[in-house]
Amino acid sequence: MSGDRMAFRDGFLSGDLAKLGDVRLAGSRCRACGIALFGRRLRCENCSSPALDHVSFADTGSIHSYTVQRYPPPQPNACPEPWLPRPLAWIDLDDCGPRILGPIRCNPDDAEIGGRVHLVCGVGWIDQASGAEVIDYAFEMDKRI
Amino acid sequence: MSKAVIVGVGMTAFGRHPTTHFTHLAAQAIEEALVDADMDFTEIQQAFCSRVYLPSSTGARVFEVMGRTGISCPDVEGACGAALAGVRQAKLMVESGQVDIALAFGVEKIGKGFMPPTILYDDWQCQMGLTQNPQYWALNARRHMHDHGTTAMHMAKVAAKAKRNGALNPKAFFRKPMTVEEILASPMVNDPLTLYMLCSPVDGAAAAIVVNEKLAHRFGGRPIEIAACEHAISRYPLLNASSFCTTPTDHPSVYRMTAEQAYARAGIGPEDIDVVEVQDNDAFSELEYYEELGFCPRGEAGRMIDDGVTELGGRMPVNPGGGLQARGEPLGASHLGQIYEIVKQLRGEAEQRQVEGARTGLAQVFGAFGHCGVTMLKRAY
Repeated sequence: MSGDRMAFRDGFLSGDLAKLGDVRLAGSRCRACGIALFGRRLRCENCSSPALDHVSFADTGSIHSYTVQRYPPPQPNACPEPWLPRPLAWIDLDDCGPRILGPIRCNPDDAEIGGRVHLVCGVGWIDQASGAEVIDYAFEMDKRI
Repeated sequence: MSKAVIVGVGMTAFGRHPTTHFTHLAAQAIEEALVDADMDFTEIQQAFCSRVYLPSSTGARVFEVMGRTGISCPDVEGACGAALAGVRQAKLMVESGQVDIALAFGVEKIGKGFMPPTILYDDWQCQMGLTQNPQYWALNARRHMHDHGTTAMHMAKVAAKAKRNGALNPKAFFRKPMTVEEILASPMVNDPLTLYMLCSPVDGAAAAIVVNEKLAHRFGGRPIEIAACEHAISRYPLLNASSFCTTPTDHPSVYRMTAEQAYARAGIGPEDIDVVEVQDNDAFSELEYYEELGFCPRGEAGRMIDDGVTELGGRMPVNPGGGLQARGEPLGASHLGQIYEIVKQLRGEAEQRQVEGARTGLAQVFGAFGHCGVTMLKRAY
């Protein structure tokens, strides 16, 4: 919790939530098997080792696979209305980061396997219990040079 | 160790049963299995009830309808693999000699539309809208297309096969044949998956009576051996609903792992199987299972459907009962619906959808959180 802001899930974001440009996705890297996992863990989900380093991940990556959500997801959700078809992707974060699921803010036709993306964090919804702004994440396609 | 054999199966029509209480749905399937085995309910020594969305102690509630015989009947929950987990427990208890006669039944009543996402997903996944199950299958499909040249037409052919077979199954939910053109033209849900490439959650129940082989002669005389019934939770990464992180590893998929365990235990390889039911939540997943269960090399599933290998009349018919895409998926009962189909096939009782001369069959399930399993059945008479 940072002021009146909180992460969408504890242990999944790092940085000062007041400065959204500085926020990064966070998680654990296993010292035994080397894998990177989204979210702070107690043990490695891959090999069960408790020897973990808690780290921040790169804010850039590339699309491993994608689909387009043509219809709104079932309630409850905090997605914008009316629903606009939205690409959703498995993204390989750079620097041997994890492969994570994330929405991509782009025209559905612009998503492609191998496409380069960067992280954008923002206010997703308001936590009903505390009234805090909940910070979540999405990606945008890099501009083609 | 004794062998466990199935001597009776029962199944309601899978579909919409808005006015039937779930205990009565379950009872309908159990009664059919009892008639099939020529057995009375009071002879059953142990039961397992599989369900996912139904309430606590669904199995015990069914005893209000069937009669309180004083036996054990815990609920067994394992997402879409729930019924396999129940059948496995029944098999293990019979094999170990703890009991001679066990009942595995599954029941679900879920109604129409999206399943409530809060049961599968954390609050943040719901809020971010990451809760459409087909999106996970679509992500796998898109990558397979990229890597292996699989096409939407391949998936449409799988869906059309399911609809054709379902039209021959009086207990299937969806009984209207469709062309590949109609399937491709139906609304896009999660690219590349269109509406008619997806299964529907439905209501229904199914049951199997599992006995020690030494007693089989007393109960119908057409025993089907459970040659293997393997269950596991996926190693990392989990490539399905609820997963938010899938960093690649060298582990085999849980589909391959459970299939190989089942082949080893049964002493039956994929080349020896006559008829198959797989967890076709969507048309692409069926293609993926052709490869992961060892029916063809990786990347060649599209060719299998192009060549008609898995059609009724092909070398290895897959989902002759219509699969989940046409039969529908009552989660807790689904694997027992597959077993019902395979048992009917191995006995030569599958009527218009009969696979001629089938003697060995495989049924495979996969569900949320990585529940996966394979049951191998073979004729024992």
